[in-house]
Amino acid sequence: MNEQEQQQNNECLDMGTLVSLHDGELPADEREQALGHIATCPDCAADEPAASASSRDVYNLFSLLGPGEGEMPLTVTALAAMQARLEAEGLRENRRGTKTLALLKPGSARPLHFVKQRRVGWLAAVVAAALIALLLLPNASALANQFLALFQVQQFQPVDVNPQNFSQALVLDITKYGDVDQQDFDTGLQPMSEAQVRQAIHFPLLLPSHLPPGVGQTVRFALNSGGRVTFVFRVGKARAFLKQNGEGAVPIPAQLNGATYTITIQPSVVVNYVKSCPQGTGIDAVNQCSGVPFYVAEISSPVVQGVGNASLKELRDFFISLPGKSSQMQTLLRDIDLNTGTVPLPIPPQVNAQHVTAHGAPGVLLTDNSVSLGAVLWQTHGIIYVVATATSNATELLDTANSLR
Amino acid sequence: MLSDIEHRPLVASADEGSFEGVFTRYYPLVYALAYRCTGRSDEAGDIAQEVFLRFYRVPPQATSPGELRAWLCRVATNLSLNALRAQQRRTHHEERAADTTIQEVGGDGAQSSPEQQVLALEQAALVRDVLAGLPERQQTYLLLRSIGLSYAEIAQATGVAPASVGSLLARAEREFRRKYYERARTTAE
Repeated sequence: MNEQEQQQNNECLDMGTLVSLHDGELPADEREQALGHIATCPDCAADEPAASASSRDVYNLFSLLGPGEGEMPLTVTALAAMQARLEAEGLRENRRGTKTLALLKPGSARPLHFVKQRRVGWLAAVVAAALIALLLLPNASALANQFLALFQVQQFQPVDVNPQNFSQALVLDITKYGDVDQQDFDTGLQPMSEAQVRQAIHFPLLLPSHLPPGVGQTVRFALNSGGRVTFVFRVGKARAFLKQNGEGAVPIPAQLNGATYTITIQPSVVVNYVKSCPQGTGIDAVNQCSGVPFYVAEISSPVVQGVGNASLKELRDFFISLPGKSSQMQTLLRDIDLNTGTVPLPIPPQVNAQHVTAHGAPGVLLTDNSVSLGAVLWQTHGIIYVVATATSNATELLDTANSLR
Repeated sequence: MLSDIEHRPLVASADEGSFEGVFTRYYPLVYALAYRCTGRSDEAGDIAQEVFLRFYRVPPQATSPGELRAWLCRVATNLSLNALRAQQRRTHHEERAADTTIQEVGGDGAQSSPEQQVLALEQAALVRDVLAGLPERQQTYLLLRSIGLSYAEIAQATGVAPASVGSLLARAEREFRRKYYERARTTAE
C-alpha cells in the first residue's frame, strides 16, 4: 500500500460510501478498500450496520406504497389501451393502412386524466353468445355484438328473457346512431396448431386435465386474432333516425356528438375436443364430428377507450332513455354495470342459471336439461373462460372447468 | 424494493413491433413507479400511458437497455411527482387517507386484518406526504432507487455523476428518515 492509499485508508468512510457498500454499488477496488478500512476502524465498523439498517428501513417504508401483486394491471390490457390511444390520436396506422379514427379532429382528445380505460366483455360476449347461440339461443349474438361492448367483465349475471320475441325485442342497431368501423376486426376463427395459438395469444393457454365421458381426445384449436372496432356517435344521424320513427322529440345530449369509442381486442382462442372429424371441418361444425361436443374458449378481456366529451355511461344512459324499447332491453342495458363489470346474460326459461365458483372465481353455470347442454363462464385475471359441452350434469361441468391447467 | 426487470435485447427504434416489445418489457416498472408515487391506480395508469405516448412520439436515442430504462423512469418520475404535488395541493394526507379505498394500499392488504390495513394506509399516506416534502431531486433519487434502479441508471436518469449517487442517496435517505420519524412522533402525540 502506498502512502496515498494508506492515508485514504485512515480516513473514515463517508455515509455515501457506506450506503454504496450496502447497496453493492462500489467498484471492486473501492469495495476492497472500504472493507479493509472497516476492519481496522471501530467507528466505521459501528456506522456500517447502522447505515445499512437505515437504508433498509427507508425502502421498507417505501414498499408500503405498493403496488401489491394484485394491484398490477395486466400488461396485455394496458397495451391494448395504449394502442387504442395511439390510434385515437392518429399516431398509429392500423393494419390496413388506414386511419380508423380519421373522423376524430386533431386536438379534440380529452386531457389524459379524462381518458379512462375499461376492460369490456365484447369478445367475451361474442364468444359466450356464440356458444350459447350454438347450444341454446339462436340469434343471441346480435345482442352481444351491439351492447355487451360497453363494460368490463368481472362477473356474469343471468337475466330472464322471453324467447318468443327475444332477438327482435333486444336488438338496437347502433349504426343508426353513428358510424361503426369494424373493417380491422377479425370476425372469424382460423384453424391453427397449438404452437401457433400459444404464440399468438398473450396469456397462458389452459387445457382441461379431465374431460367428461364420451369426449374425444383429438384437440383442435382456432384463433380469433381480434382487432379494433370504432363507434363514433353522430347526433345528425341519430336525430334523423329518431325523427323517421316518430321519436324526434327525444333529447340527445350534445356532448355525445363525435364521442368515439374504440374497442381493442387481443387474440383469443377456442379449443374443441372431438373423436374424429372429416378433413376441413370448421371448429363450429358440431354435428359433423363424432364424440361428445366439448369446447373451451379463452378470451383476453378487451379494452374500450372513450375519446370525446361523453362517457360510456352517458352513451348507455342515452340508449336506455330511448322510448319504444322493450322492457327486456331496458333491463339488460340497466344491468350492464360499468362499475362492477357485471355482464347480463340473457337466459330463456328452459335454461337453468346459477352462480357458481369456477376455478376459484365467481361464474355462472348454465344447464338445459331438455337437451342435455351446459356451459360454465367465469373471468379471472382479465381472461374470460367458457367451458361448454353436451351435459346437464353440473358436477361434471364444474369438475372439468376446475381441471383447466 | 421491487424486483428488477430482466434486461433483454433492446430494439432501438419505435416501429410497431419494437414499441410493443418495449411496452411489454417496461410497463410494469413504469406503472409501479407511478403508483408508488401517486398511490392511485387510475392516475398511475394514466401516467404510464403518457410515458409511453412520449416514447412513441419521440423515442430517446438510447443505446442500451439501461439508458432506455433510465429515460422511461425519468419521464415517469417527473410526471408522477407533478401528480403528487397536485395531490398535495388538493388535500391533506388525513383527508386522502379517509378517501382512499383499502384496495389502494400497497402490499398484501387482502391477507391482513382491517386494523392492519388502516394502519398500513396511514403509514403509506405519511410516507407519501414526507416524500412530497423533500426537495425534488431527493424525491427522485429515492423513488428511482425504491423501484430497483442501479446507481448507473439513477445517474443516467438524473444527469449526475455515477460516483455521486451513493452520497446523494445517503443524504436523501437520512433526510427522509429524519422527517418521517419526526412526523410519526408528532402524529402519535
